[in-house]
Amino acid sequence: MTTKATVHVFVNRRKVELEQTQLTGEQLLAAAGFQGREWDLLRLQGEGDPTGGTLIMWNDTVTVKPGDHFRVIPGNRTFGACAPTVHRELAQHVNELRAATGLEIEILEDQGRIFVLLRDAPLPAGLFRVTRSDILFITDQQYPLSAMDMFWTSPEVIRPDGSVPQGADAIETYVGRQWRRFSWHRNSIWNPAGNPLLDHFAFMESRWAAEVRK
Amino acid sequence: MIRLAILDKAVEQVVQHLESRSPAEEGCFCLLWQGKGRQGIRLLASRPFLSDPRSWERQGTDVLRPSAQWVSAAVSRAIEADSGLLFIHSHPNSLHPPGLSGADLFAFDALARTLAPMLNGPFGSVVVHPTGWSGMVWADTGPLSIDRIISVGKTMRFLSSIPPNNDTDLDCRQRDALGVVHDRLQSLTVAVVGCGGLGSPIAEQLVRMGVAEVLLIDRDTLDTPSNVRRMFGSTVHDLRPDHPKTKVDILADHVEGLGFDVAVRRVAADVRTEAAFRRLLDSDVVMLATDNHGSRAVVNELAAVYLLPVVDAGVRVGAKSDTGLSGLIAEVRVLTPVTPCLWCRRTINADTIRVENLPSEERERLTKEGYVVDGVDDPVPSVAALTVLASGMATCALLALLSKEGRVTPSGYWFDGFLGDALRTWPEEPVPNCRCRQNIGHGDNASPPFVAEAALSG
Repeated sequence: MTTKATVHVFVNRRKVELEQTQLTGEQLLAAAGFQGREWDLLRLQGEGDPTGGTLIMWNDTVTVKPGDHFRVIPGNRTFGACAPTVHRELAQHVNELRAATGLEIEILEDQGRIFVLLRDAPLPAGLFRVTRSDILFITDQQYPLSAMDMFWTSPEVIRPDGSVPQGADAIETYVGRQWRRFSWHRNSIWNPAGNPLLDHFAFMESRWAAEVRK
Repeated sequence: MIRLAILDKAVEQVVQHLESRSPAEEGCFCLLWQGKGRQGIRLLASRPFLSDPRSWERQGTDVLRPSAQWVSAAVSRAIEADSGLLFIHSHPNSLHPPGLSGADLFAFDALARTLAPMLNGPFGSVVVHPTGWSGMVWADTGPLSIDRIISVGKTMRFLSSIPPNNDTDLDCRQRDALGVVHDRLQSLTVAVVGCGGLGSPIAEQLVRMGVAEVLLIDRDTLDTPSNVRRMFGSTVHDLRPDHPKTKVDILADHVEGLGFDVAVRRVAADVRTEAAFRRLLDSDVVMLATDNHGSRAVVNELAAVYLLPVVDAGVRVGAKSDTGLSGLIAEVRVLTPVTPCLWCRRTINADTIRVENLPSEERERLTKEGYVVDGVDDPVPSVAALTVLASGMATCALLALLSKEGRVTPSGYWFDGFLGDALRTWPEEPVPNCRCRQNIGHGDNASPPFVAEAALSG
């Protein structure tokens, strides 16, 4: 049961005012300005808690008391020497995409595959039931020599009438989450020169624009 | 330039830890403080927080993912210590990138954006690779490369690679003599505090040996004729009572005139002021050649608090009236975080500093009343033969500091230029309850008390 109250807690040493004393981990993160689920939330016994705290899952219900301390650690904390030349170029391209779109973008890796995660990207108005979604591009260690194909959104991205978009009925799991695969393919040739990541993003947007026009 | 100095004991612990899991990557945190120089930053790492197998969500030959709880525990430790954090991890395979990989950069970026605002110090990341160490530190504007990483113990070790030298014909005999120390020497910025009889021959030697940069610091002017007999670069024509020249300018003009490719920076200021002191933080080693206790006490703090080695030089003349010479003592002390400081060695005295700082009228009055020993500010007896001897010993100590062999040389010794006796000085180890043991590597969190410019001009 949710109790209406005004209570302040500390998240990453910053005071956060809450109107509820019971909320989910995701709600607490959002209240502290951390959008999405790519964060780990820990409850501390004081800022100097030598254990590092107790993990709270995004869907756990938390009961907070005034003055409670929490800490948020970003999910993107995978270090490693893998695929250095690929990463350096991809990093540059992601920076350019970030600058062009204003989106928060992460590179994640899992078993040799590389995932470019665009957080909370806006979707074309009226095209889907939701207006924003995380978007996933998948590549590998030979990017940009290796082409990207298709893109993935959260499973909630369906048409306003509840139907599944054409070629988007497959639900797949990557980086610990479920994704809707848009089996939409480029017509043009992948050009490894320039910034093909920007090109792939532009391809996705142009396909959506075409859907809107239909 | 951004420098990172790490206590050598911490380096040994970290290296052993990282190698224990090779060929897999391994990592740890260190606490990180800083000292802000005028142009750069001196980062200071110590107190490793080693991982255990539960610290990693993923660990492999080319991947390392720390658990949120372990990262958070490191943050807790840093908050308790009022410090920042340095994440160190290995790229054990020589084919791996020698610096932060693309994955490392992204993880560093994400962690820094979230953790840095929580910390009371800098946040950095370092990669340990078979060819050397390299890293980045987070600044308000984003990541910045760390230019030089050194380990500081009884000697200085370069952990990051040194850019290759373009040796010329000028260098062949010195290279033959010094080997790899030649390269290290030529990459250094060395500060010389005090540009008189001791500091001037030190500066000339440094320029002749080809260090990268010399920083000359002294607030004095050449207004005492007897100085000309000992100060390199000065002539009797420089004695201009109406418009005395600064010692810094006389010395800088002289060493620049030698024609070597060495940058010479001039700081005509009192090293006890914060502005002048911070210039020292942009150097790799400080040569201390002043006999003022207040100045020496401030520079003394560099070794332990800022992990910045100091070579202290001094002279004593054993002459009493007309009875003749009993000794010509040249003294050198190498001050590092693990060697005794000037307080440990009792070579500076807090009462003398108090007297140095008294207004002249009050000092005269107290002297008359017998509370103060006269002569605190009087010129110390000296002779060029002795100051040259001490300066040569000091620059040799610098060479030892740059070599592994420095580990077996004493950190303090004197040589009698008259009788030819040499002696190690007491003590060999820092005094446990000395001030220098209190804030090792804490940088600006434990900066020394500075003298305000206004107080000096007043």
